[in-house]
This record gives sequence, C-alpha cells and structure tokens, in this order.
Amino acid sequence: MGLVQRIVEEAGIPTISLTLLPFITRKVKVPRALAIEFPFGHPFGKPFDNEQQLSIINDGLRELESIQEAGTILDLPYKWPEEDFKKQDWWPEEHPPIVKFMQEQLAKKNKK
Amino acid sequence: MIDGFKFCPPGLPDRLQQMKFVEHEDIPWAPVNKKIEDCKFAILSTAGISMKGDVPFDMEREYKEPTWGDPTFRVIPKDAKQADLEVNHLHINTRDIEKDFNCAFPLDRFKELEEQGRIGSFAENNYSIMGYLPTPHTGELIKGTAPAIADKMKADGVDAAFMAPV
Repeated sequence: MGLVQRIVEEAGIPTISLTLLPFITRKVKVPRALAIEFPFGHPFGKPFDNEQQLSIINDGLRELESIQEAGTILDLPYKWPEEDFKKQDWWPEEHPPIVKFMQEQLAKKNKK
Repeated sequence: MIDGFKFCPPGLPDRLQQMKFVEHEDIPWAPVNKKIEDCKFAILSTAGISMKGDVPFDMEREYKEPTWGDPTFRVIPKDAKQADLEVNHLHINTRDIEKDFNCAFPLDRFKELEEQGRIGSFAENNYSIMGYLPTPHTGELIKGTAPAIADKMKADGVDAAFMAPV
C-alpha cells in the first residue's frame, strides 16, 4: 500500500496512512504514517467501537496537518486488550495459498 | 515504541526481514495547503473490498498461483452499506470487516466527520486494493492501479487521502 500512497502523493495529493507493520513502511518510505499495534484486519480497531475508530481518524487528521518532515512515522498509543490478544483470533481460517505452497516446497526439498 | 511484530506468527518476522520490498531513497511530499476543515477526503483500504455485483478480487487465480496477488482496484461509493460489500483477502481473517467494515475502511466515520464539519467533505468515490502483492507482481500496481487511483482522486477534486493497510 505504501507504493500507492507514494504515487498519490507524487500526483500532488497529500496522504497519511496507518501501518500495522512499521518495519515495512520504513523500507518503502511514505510521506506520513502512524504505526498502530493492532492485529491484521483491524487498523481502526474493533468492529462497532465507533468512538475508537473516530479517535484514530482524528489522530490522522491532526498529524496530516502537523507532520512537516517526509518519512515521519509516529507511534499511536492504542493497545489491543491483553485478554483479546490471548484469543489469537485474527488469523485467516485456513492458511493462505502461499503458506501451503512453501510447506510443499520444503517437504519436497527434505525428501531429496 | 510499539511492537511492530506483536501480531505476527512465529517465523514471519524472520521471513519479512529476508523478503524483498520495493525500496526507495526519496520520499514524495505534497504540502497540505488547506485547513483540514476545508479538505475533501478520500480513503483507501487494502482489505480486498468490492461491491457485490462488481467483479470480486480474484482469489481463484491466487489459489492456483500462490505467488500471484490481484493487483487491481475497486471503487466503493461513500454511501455503501455493510450488505453491499464483500471482502476477499486470503491473508487476514475478514470476519470483523464483514461485521463492520469501519474497523478497516471507515466510510461511516468519515461521513460523520463530514456532517460535523471536521473535514470539508468526503469524496463520493473511495478505493480498495488487495494487499497481498508479491514483489514480482507490483509492476501493475505501480504502472496501472496506483496512477489510475490518483487520476480519479484528482478528477474528483480530492485534497487529501487517508489510507490503511490490513
């Protein structure tokens, strides 16, 4: 997504993004980003938590105005509740095809 | 400092460290020339969201070709309702987005901000891509999809864009 953000910004439209993997965002390099410690699929938090969703958007609106240096990645303070972390329920129901593919490749290699 | 790997499965951080990303030295910059209260916003998600009836993101091909990911985009009108949308992304659990798309693609919250006057306006057209795009296939995203999205935003008079990966 960082690639799209860069191209939209290059076209003259200022952009801000959230990131769940700041490690990647730092490599791709985007003008403005906010890192948030939430599980995949939930950049704006929990479903139906309208207040938190709005709060995160408002952080973005504020930082869009205040960030002055290209490449800035700020950390947002939100925490995923510990009891929900234990549920580990953000994984897809089945492994993505690439995981199965890599496991098969590995199995073939080990057979040789 | 946040833990950027907290939600990764064991092994993924190492794989990510070894993975090739399109890296850059330069960083584009477009200044914000208006007050947020006067800006027209559009949003973009990588969740693989499409309108029912539109062509969904192509999961069939990804099943057959696991190193390929659909590089196209879909336009989602701001008034889309939960029942209008479907989500196709094999690398995340889409359950919560299927209950309330606002946790990844907050159309309803942006409409509220528009009503409250916190933002100038909210664009009619918003966007989804599907975030799994292995590096050999990013060409179409860079040459086709992203410029097309930027052109559409410009044609709509969008002043600023808020983007969120999943």
